[in-house]
Parts: sequence; C-alpha cells; structure tokens
Amino acid sequence: MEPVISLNNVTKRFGQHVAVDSVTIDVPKGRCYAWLGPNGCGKTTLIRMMLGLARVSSGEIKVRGLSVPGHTREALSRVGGIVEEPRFYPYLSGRKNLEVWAAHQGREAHAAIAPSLDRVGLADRANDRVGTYSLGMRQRLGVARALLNDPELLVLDEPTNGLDPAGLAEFRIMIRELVDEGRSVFISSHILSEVEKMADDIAIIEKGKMLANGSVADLMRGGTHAISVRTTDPDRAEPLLRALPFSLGVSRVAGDVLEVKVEEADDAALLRTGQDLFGAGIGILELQKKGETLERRFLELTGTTAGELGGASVLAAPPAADSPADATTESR
Amino acid sequence: MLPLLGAELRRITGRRGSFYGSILFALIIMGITIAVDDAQSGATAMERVATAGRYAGLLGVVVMGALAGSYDSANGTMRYLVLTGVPRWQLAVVRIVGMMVAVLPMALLILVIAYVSSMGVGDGPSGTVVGESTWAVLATLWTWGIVSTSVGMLMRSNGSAIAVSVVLFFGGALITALVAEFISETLANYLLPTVFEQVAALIKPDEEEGLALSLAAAFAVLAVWLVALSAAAIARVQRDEY
Repeated sequence: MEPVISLNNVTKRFGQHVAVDSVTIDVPKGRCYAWLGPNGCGKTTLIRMMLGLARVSSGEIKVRGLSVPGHTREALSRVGGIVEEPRFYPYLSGRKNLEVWAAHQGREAHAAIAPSLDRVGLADRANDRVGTYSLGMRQRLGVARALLNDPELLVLDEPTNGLDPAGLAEFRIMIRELVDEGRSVFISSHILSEVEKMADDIAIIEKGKMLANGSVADLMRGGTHAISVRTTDPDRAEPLLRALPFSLGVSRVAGDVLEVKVEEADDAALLRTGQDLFGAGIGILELQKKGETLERRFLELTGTTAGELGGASVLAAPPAADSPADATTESR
Repeated sequence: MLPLLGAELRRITGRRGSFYGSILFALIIMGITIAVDDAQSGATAMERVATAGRYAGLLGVVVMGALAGSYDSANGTMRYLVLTGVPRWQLAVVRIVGMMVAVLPMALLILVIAYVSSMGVGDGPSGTVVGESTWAVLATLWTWGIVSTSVGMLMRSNGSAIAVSVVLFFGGALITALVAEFISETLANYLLPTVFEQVAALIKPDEEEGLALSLAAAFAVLAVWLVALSAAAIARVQRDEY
C-alpha cells in the first residue's frame, strides 16, 4: 500500500543551523503515526514542510502520493491540519470562523461545519466569539476546521496542548474513531504518555535527526527493563548491584534510589537483587520492577532526561540501547 | 473567487473598530465641515464636503488596509489559509479586491452626505460636480486602500503596517515637495502623491501648479505605482514561509 506521507532524506537548514536532518519515513495509511521529540527538535518544521508552508532545503516529500511542493494543491485537498497552535479570528464566532475556511474549500466543506462542531463538542458554544474560548476549546475548534474537507490525512501538531484530563481522554477517543474510519492521523508531541496511548506507530526525533521508528510495541520491545531499588546505603549498594549477573548497568535516579538495567525484569531477578542486598546488610526501603514504557525507551534513545521532556519527574539518563527489535528501524 | 471575496469582506468588516471607526471618523469631519462651511454655491459646497470626507476617510482606509494586508500573517491564520490549497497569489489578490469593495459603504455615505448637505445651497450641485466628486472619493479610497493593503502584506506586522502606511501618505507629500524643490520638478511629477492627486481631482497639466504630466500619463503612472506595489506584496506572500 502506498504510504500517505513519504519523506526521503528531507533536510531543512536555517543558515548554518540544521533543523531537520536527512529524515526518511514512510507513514502508512489508516494508522495513527506519532512524531515524538522534545520541544525544539524540529517537529513543527517538518510538518510545515510537509504541508507546503515552508521550503525544503533538500530531499523529497510526497503527501498522498503527490509531490510537495509541485502538486501542493491536489496533495492538500484532502488534508486537514493544526500547525503550532490553532489560530482563528478572535472577533468572529467559532461558526463564522469555520465559514471563512469553508469558503476556501467549497460547498461540501460548508455542509461539514455543523457535523464537525458536533464531533468536537463545540456545537453549544459555536456562536460565541473565539476570543472568549479557552486554549482547549480552540484546540477542538482547530480539529473541527481540520475535518471540514473530509480529510484522508490529519496532521496535528501538539494537539493535546491545553486539554484538561477529561478533554485528553475525549481527544484520544476521537483520534481512534478517526483512524477507525480509515483516515490517517499524523501527530507530533512531546508528551510520551499521550502518544503511547494514542499512536500505532512512532518516530523518535532529536535535534532534527530521526533516531528510531516503528510500531509502539516494537519500539518498546527494543528497550530494556529495570529494577528500581531504594536503599538505606546507596553507595555500598551500587557496586553490589553492578555485580549482579543480569545487570546491564546501574544508574542513580535520586539520592537513595538506584536503577539496575536488565534485559527482563522478572521475579527471579527481583528476588536475587533483594537477597544480595540483605546478605550485605543493606536495608531495602523499596524494590520494584520497571517494565516497558515508551518513556524509558525514549530516554535510552535520546540520552535525555524526563525533566527535559517536561515530564513530572527527572530521571537520570541510562546509556543508549543497542539491541533494537527486528521490526524497529534505528538510525543513530 | 466570489466565496473567497465574501470571506475576505467578513474578515474586514468583522474588525469592527477599524471598519466602523473609519466611517465614523469621516462622518464627524464632514459634520464639522458642513457646520463651518460658508460656500455660496451648491457645487462648491459639495466639493468641499466631499473633499473633507475623502481625506478623513483616507486615514481610516489606511488603517483598514494595513490590517487587511498584515493581519493573517501577524495573527498566524495565514498558514491555515495556505493549507486550504487556494494558491497564495489568489489569497493576496482577494485581499486587495476585498479592500476595494469594503470601502464602498464609506464612499457611498460620504457622497450622499456631501450631496444632501449641498442641495439647499444655491442651485445645488450640477451633474458634473456630482460625477467628479464621486470619482475623487472612489479614486482616493481605492488608491490608498490598495497602497495600505500592499504595505500590510509586505510588513506582516499590524503595528508597523499601519505606521508605514500613514507615514507613506503624510511623508510622501513631504518627500514630493522636497524632491520638487531640491532635486527635480519633473521627477516629482511621477511620485505617487502627485499622480494620485492629479488623477483623483482630474487636474490637467498646469504650469502654475507645477504639473507637467497629461491626465492620461498621470493615470498610467498611478497604475504603474499600484501594480508595482501590489506585485511586490503578492511576490512576498508567494515566497514567505508560514
């Protein structure tokens, strides 16, 4: 099946600065594909190039099988998007804003205004001025606008910004519904937990370079697990944990918390860790398995910390993984 | 093209402060002119009131046009207009045409008030005076509507677009006078403020006024100015990244 988005060695330079560096991806049709990376890593720049808003320095982009630029109008005729943040005319109502955009897209788009507003739950506030909307409401109106041309492909840049927990849950459901309808959704985000719940496939990007891509399950399988230990004496515990036969490395996450990186965090490994520490007279305050999460995998790949990603906790960065699963492509 | 024009008009008239404020300002200045005017003939009365209206309206049109040209880039909505797939040049052309249509209510009000206020003075205005006043008002609002919308598209920021458009009008007259005085009277004849005034007021070549161009030539030079400014603005819209 032809990919809905195809990027071939796409590069964008701003003077000496390389914002996007030789990115090659094929985004499959009918799936939710997430473009994951910290703020300022080139996510939005790539989206702007895909949508014909910015020029490509080198490389080739195809959207729905058509070159952008070159056949931008045809390529975008069934593409909806939010780029950076949803912007509107604040002095017009939500409905009138959509009417302005529908005027640029034809009669069918005009007929889609009411269903789109219904779909994003804004029908009741459609006649209020957009200037009175919260960021979350503007995000939803942005999605309504993106749906006007019955898109085959939705490109949503950080679409969950400003949504409250209930709004996030609704948004996830809506994205899955759109995918179930056969549409393709391309999302960029720096919020790992959201992407993990929403996306089928993920590409991880850092400093403009794609580090890995593949299905969520494959990407997480490519990562390691860990055993987290909170002890009374972390200094003495560290060499002991490092000497464990299954240990792939130890890192200090917090003052008294150590993490032992392992291939598989199973019960036997947990027991052995506890036994060795008790045997050496070191008190254990907490001992737990840390399984496959996208966050762990992301940190392994990027060598960054959760804090840099805007996560709630700051995690020390373990060394980069070197055992990707077969179905996962890595390019570091 | 018509739906796009409708959407553009909705955007311009939706910015109520600049749209209705411009009309109101023109009406206030005209009201003052009518109150203090001591013209003896209807023709003179209509010319004076219409002239007051068109210059007061011009200031409002400069603000409206600068906003029409720069708002989408400054507000971040331009990228969503580009995303609709409508060619960029078409989006730019619609802005200029939309501005020309949006000034028509103001022009109509200026002319109706000027006509009505001069009806009771002497024999009232002649058909020729009504025709010339109509042309003068439309030429003024259209010329500066196109100029300020183009400047807005070139500047991409609301504040600077308004400032540059206003300075272009007031400073343009000053620069023209300086050019005529110190550089070349011939060159001054080709500058925008001179040809605009000659075309709007339908002034024939006049040595005393220092106008050397024929009316047809003035029309042509004004057209070149407007086409050049519009083309520069369209080229910028075509080239910019959003």
